[in-house]
Amino acid sequence: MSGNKSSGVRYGMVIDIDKCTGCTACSVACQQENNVPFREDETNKVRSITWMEIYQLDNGMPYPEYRQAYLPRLCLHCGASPYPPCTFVCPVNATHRDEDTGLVNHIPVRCIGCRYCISACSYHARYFNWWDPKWPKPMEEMLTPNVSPRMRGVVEKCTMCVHRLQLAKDRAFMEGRSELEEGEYVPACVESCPAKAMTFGNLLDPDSEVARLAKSSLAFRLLEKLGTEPKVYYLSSQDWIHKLADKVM
Amino acid sequence: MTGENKQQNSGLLGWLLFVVGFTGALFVGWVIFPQLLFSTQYQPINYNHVIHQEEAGMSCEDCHYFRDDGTYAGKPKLAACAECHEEPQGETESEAMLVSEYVEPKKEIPWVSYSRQPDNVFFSHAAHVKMAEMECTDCHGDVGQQTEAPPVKINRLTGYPNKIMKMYVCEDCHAREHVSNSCNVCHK
Amino acid sequence: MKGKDLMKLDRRAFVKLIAGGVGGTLLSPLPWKMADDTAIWSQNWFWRPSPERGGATTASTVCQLCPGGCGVRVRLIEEKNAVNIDGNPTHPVNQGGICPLGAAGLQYLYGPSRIETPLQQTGKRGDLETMKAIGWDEALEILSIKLRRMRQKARGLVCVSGKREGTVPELFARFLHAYGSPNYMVMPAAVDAESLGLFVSQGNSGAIGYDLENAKMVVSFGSDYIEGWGSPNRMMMAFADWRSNSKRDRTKIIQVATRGSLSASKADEWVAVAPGTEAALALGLAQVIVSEGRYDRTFVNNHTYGFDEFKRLLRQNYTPEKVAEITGVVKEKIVGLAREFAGTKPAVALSGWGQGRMQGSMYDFLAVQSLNALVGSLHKPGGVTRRPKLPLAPWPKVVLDATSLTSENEPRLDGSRGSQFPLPGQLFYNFVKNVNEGNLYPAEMLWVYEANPAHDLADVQPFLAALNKIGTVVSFSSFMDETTQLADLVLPGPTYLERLEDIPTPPGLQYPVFGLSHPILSPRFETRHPGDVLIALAHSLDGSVGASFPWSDYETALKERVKGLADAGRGQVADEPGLQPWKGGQGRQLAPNYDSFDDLWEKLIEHGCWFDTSEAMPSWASAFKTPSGKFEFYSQKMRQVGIRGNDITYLPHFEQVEPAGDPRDYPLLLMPYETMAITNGPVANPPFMTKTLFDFQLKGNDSFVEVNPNTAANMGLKEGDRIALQTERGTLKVRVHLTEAARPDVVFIPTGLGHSGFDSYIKGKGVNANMILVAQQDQVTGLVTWWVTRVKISKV
Repeated sequence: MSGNKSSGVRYGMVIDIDKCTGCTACSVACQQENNVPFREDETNKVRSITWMEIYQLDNGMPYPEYRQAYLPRLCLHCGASPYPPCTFVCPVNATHRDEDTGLVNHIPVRCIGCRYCISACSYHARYFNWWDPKWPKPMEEMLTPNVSPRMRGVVEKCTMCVHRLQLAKDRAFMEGRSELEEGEYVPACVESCPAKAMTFGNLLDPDSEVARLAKSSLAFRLLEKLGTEPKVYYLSSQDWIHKLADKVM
Repeated sequence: MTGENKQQNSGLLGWLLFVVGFTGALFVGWVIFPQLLFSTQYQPINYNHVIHQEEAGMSCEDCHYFRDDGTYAGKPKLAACAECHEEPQGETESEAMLVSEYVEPKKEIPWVSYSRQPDNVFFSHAAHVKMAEMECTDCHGDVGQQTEAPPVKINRLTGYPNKIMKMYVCEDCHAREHVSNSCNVCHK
Repeated sequence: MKGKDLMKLDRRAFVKLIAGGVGGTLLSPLPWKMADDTAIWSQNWFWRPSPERGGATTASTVCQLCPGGCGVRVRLIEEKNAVNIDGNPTHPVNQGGICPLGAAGLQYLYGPSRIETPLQQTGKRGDLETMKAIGWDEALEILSIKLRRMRQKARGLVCVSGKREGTVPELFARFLHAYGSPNYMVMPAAVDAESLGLFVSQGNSGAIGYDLENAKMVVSFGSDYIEGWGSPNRMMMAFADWRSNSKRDRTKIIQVATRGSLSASKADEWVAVAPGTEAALALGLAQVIVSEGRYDRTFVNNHTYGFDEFKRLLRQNYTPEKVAEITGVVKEKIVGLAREFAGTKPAVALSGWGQGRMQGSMYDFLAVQSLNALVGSLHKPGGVTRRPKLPLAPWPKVVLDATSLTSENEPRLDGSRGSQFPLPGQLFYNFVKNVNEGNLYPAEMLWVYEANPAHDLADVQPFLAALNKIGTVVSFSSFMDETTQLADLVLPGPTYLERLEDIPTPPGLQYPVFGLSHPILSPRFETRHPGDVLIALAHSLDGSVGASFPWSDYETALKERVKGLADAGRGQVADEPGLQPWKGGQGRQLAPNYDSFDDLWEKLIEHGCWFDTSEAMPSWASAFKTPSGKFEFYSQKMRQVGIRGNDITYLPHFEQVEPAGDPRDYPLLLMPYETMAITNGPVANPPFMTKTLFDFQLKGNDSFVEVNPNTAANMGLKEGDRIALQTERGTLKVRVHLTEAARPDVVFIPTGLGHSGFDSYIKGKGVNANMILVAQQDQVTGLVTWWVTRVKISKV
């Protein structure tokens, strides 16, 4: 388990698959929030960058017993001890887990683009920049200064909007607080969700909603058998979804 | 001339040349190189910190302040200048320029930053000033005593000003103060 | 000789010079600084944009990318760069949530397909090379001269608005009225069937409101309730609420539909029906409820008319056996569902096919509505009601002159209220038909506002043909969409983030909301607000047209209407998070939280919307404005307006529409489907959303159709095969995606792709399903259904 017990903070997320309507707002909100680049053709999914990627699941039954569900997959910020698979293999220390928060960060300017972390990640949560990002002329004005744009040849991935944590702390510091209250720091995807299917917070805080939901009997994690200890939990009342969670993605 | 002599002479010359090369390289490295490496930029207006404090009775926070959301507004906006400088406040050239080139056409003054970090760096003034109770002068020097705006030396290669704080300085202090040195504490 | 020797630079001396140089260099900062700086330089990435920094502020406004009416917040850097859009937590409709389209809104503001100045087509229509940029004065002059010249043929001016409600559409309607044309039209939508249905069964023309948040059971007849139906965010939020309730009093959702969509999958039960037979199932349920006496006796006995006739029709045509035959749903399921619907209070049935963005059959609506009537869910909490009207102040009456007075009696080009279709419907398809057939009189000029019929109209080819017969086409669009490409004159408006406009209550909502969108940025280009354009244009015309627009600009006109809200003495500006206007029911008095019009206006700009719960749902005794004063199963209104037919014509019934095409030539059925990931509005998909499409929906420039694996196997098709889809209208080339979501022998094609306008991020991606769908007109109402067409597929 990651997260410095003494810091008392280990951020995690719970996504209720039963409530998810598959609208993809989380994925779009993430792209806008994090200056994720886009190209004219994004249909080669091996090369397309989508920190929050949506998977379509189905129960494998024939019409009309068929049911589908969407599963939003971000970086799961694995809690495996002592290292998550991706940071362990990085030759240049460009990716690292912050043990005060449990967030796995990746600093693109330090990355040499060897892509070892991409092969180490069991969840396809890391992306390589095959091209330099390009925004059609006026769209550079919509880039947010909170996240620096990347370049060709480096890896990037979900940061759990860690810049929002930085900004939330600034707000708290102004009030003389060093501790954040629940809901002060929320990633863009969680904030956008119209069905309120996503919950974010401190898994170590027993009173937090996210900790309560993570302990629910409906909760599961992706590929739990690998021992990566993801800090993103999913909820579903459907057995077939639970079963799919242990299959290779 | 014997061959021995020849060698001696040439040995002397050799050492002379060595010293020439050595001092020349030192000169190039210590004197010429910095001049070549850094370009000098001047502030658009020769701002006088002292006069604003002493004669206008302003405080630092009138221009350099925290926004409500805890972020830091380092450089003042033109609107702040225009509050007093609607008309020239004196006879100086800078004063006339301020009014005619910036205040009247409502054009923001393109101040050059002495300590602008690259866009992958997140620096929290709130954390250092509000929480760690550091003084502005600890990092920026006593800017308030300046009667004119010093030129900004910009590194031609990196594009950064010469007085910029480097990562090892941040790391050392964080380590000393037992503050996290996790990448995402400072990088975005 | 000596001196010469001394001066002799031999190899050894040279080496010493170099060694000295190297030594000196190593002791200087040069190599170390260079190494360090080069490392830093390598991380500079100067060729990639570095976002501008500065203070962040937030501005609230209302989204206009669909009729959903959600509150949004835009984050601005230095009050000039908009860098983010998220949901406004104080807005009761979306409560902080946002849909993918709304979240990608900045890609429209900064989009490459924006039109920067007025344009005039100087060559052949559709040729972008000959579209000439002109100034506003010239553009208005051109249009003004044309309008003056054709004043004697004023009725030939046609306007189609994609926006149905609000002051800008009202100004368009007003202009046409004052000018002398009866031809103000709106783009087809499910609301067309609803308003006719309400008119014939309840006698009034208000909009429909579903009190979904308070329902205990929801049966959706073909409505993709979480995939864009109604106000999308409101629906997703309601869905989450239904799912949040404890198991015991959890709202039960039944989806009646042909495709195994997300709405079907997420429902508690998916009832798969044969294509286009949802209404038959509704009548099947009605028959069980009536024959087993499970209906609401108080309501049916005291407040309905024609129940006996309806009962007889049900017994004759809609017994579970017969309905099972039509729909393919087993008899037991029909009976079970009917009992559950009648036994759960409150229960409500939804209608409006798919996202409800195109027309549907009025009879389908009536069939579903009769279910709501039978269980007493009309005008009751948790049921379906008439949404209260916004208390906006009226504008002064339109000033009419001789020309506009005579034109008041002119027939409309869409034939609505005419001899063939006497009901007061919006019949855009019939307008297209009349133009193509040369009926009535010529359409001299077409104005298009907030609509892109050249792409979005289901069965679009007849419209494209009709355009050739229309003298002048004027577009008010902000983007180079397909319709604008075919325009003769383009008067570009600012985008929703740059303009002032009201956004009245979104579709399906049970309480009134008045949203105000305002410019959070000054317009980027030489655009002009359509409201201002209309006012200027009216003033440039002589006499009564100008006199009908007694305002200097749009803002004045809008404020005049909003004064009514301030004077109403009820309702509030939504200014705190977590408002739930549906809790506690309608009829809760809300005292204003503003003290004057100016205060209200200021608060609207700051927070985004006004809402009200003060008006209670109408009582059964007062709700119905029909000749009988009751809910009419058997519509006397239809008789009154002059509709001739047998008894069935006046009753809710199921019209079995035979899909276009000979089954021998076109053995399969083609059905469109809509998804949240592809917008169907007047704007094309933004790059962020297109990115989220699966590679079995779009791959390269190929879009996919869904085919059942068994059907595919029979035809020798594999995943990814390229096929030609051929209907009576034409052929499209697509690829095959095998999925059990598809009913055997039905091919499902997504709508919203296949753009030829807009920018390189969407142009040419996939095919436009509307090109080969065939819409079919109902001969009583003139409305069309469009979701089943016969198709042939062949491998290419």
